Amino acid sequence: MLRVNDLKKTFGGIKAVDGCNFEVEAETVTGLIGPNGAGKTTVFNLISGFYPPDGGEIWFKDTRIDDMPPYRIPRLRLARTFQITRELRKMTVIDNLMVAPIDQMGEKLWNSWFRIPSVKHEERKIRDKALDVLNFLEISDLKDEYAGNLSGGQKKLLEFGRTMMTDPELILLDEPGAGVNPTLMKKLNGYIESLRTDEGMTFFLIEHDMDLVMELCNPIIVMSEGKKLAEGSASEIKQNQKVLEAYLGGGG
Amino acid sequence: MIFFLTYAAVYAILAIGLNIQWGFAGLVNFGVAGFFAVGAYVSAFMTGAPSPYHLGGFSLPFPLALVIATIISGIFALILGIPVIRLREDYLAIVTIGFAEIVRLIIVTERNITKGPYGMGVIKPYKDLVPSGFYGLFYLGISLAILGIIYLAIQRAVGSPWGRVLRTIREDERVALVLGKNVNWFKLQVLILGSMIFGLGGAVFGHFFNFITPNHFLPMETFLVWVMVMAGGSGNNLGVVVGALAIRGVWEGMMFLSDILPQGVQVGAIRLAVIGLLLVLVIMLKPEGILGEKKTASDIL
Repeated sequence: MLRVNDLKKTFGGIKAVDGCNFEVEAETVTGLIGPNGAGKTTVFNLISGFYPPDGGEIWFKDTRIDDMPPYRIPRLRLARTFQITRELRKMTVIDNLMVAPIDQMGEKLWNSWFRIPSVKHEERKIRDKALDVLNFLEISDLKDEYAGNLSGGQKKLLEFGRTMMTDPELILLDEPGAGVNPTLMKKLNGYIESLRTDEGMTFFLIEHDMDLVMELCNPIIVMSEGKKLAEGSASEIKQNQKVLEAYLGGGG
Repeated sequence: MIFFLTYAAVYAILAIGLNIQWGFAGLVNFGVAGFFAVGAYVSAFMTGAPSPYHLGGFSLPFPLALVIATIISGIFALILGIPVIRLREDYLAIVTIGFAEIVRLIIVTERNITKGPYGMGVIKPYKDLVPSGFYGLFYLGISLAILGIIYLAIQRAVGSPWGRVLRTIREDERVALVLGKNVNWFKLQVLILGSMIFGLGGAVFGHFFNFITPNHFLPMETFLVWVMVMAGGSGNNLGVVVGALAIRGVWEGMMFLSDILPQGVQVGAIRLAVIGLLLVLVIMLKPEGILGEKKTASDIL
């Protein structure tokens, strides 16, 4: 579904991503792990089009996306979250969700003045969907609160909900577990698993919590120094000598 | 009083224009005075009688001149915006203030077109239709009507999904991008729309003052509008109108100080200091402005 070929990106003298190759298969929860500075978030940012790669290609569903402007990529139904949540602070929770659907008719200035019935109809559908997502995530009671006032975990949920509003086929999650308590994380796991099995969504996630990765992800891709080091199921990765060295600095 | 209210109405129009740019979309425009000047001069050219000393006069009807002034300001914004809209906010600030100064200096130097520093007379529209004692009131009515239309149009725009995208861009551009919003296109729309409003405000100003010189369009005017937006409450259209009224009130009120102050003290300098102090006070005591931004919900449902 997502294929990365010989991807390269340098920042100054640092080779953040240095010839990285991997593929994410449809309807999997693929994990991306690696020590700090391995280039994981850079890979995500390259996929999102935030900066152009210095070399290599990124393909999503038979479309080459590495030379696309960033706002086009979500239209192919590829969504993402951020390592540090980026909620829209001075907007309500429901507005945070309602802004998400792509190419709304009401986003045309003309339609904001001349509100034809189909614009209203679409807006109601978006509102109902946002309410459904809030229900699904069990944060309906927060809908009129400013997103900036939520707790860290609630912000994570909100950001997760925002990706769901765009009907994605692939969701990139950058450390969904960071700063989330175990109970909430278990919940988030459940959401991911049910969206994968029921809706056929694909997930590609960066995570440092190994228990979580081992439980949720199959396969797991390990990155180190800008390259793919290994790939395999949880048990294979656990026994891979190169992975142990990368994490523990030799010995293991 | 009528003079003051008309003046305040002109500034309220400018404040709404800046509010849509800065208050809703987070776009830093330090070039308000430039578009204000474009609108004022264009409308003066359009309505004036033919003259060998400046461009035009085309003797066009007043409403048509307003429309043309608005559109030409929009075209200036488009031409400026295409290369610079992708700039980060601090650079955008530098470019826009540069633009406004270029506009002003062109007005100063191109005497064949604008009569340069001598200034241009601007007609009083419908002067013959209104008894002269009531003209001020009549023109106040025109100004308030235009302010009202702008207010309602912008209020309606920001309550829609379009306005929701602007707030998203203001809060976090990257989020807007990952939600598939063409951020630069929205910013360009806002730059053009806001600048059209500045141009319209300029036209209303010209026909109110009946005489315009480059000195009416100093960078100071831009910052006065900024103070109005910040003090009134950016992100709240009613707030910035209140801000315009209040700041204009202080500004005019200070004129009376010249009677009290000792000889040689410059009122102009003191009122700048007072406006600055007021801004500091507002930011310390009520950082969101007199009327802060309200929680919004889609008003289209």
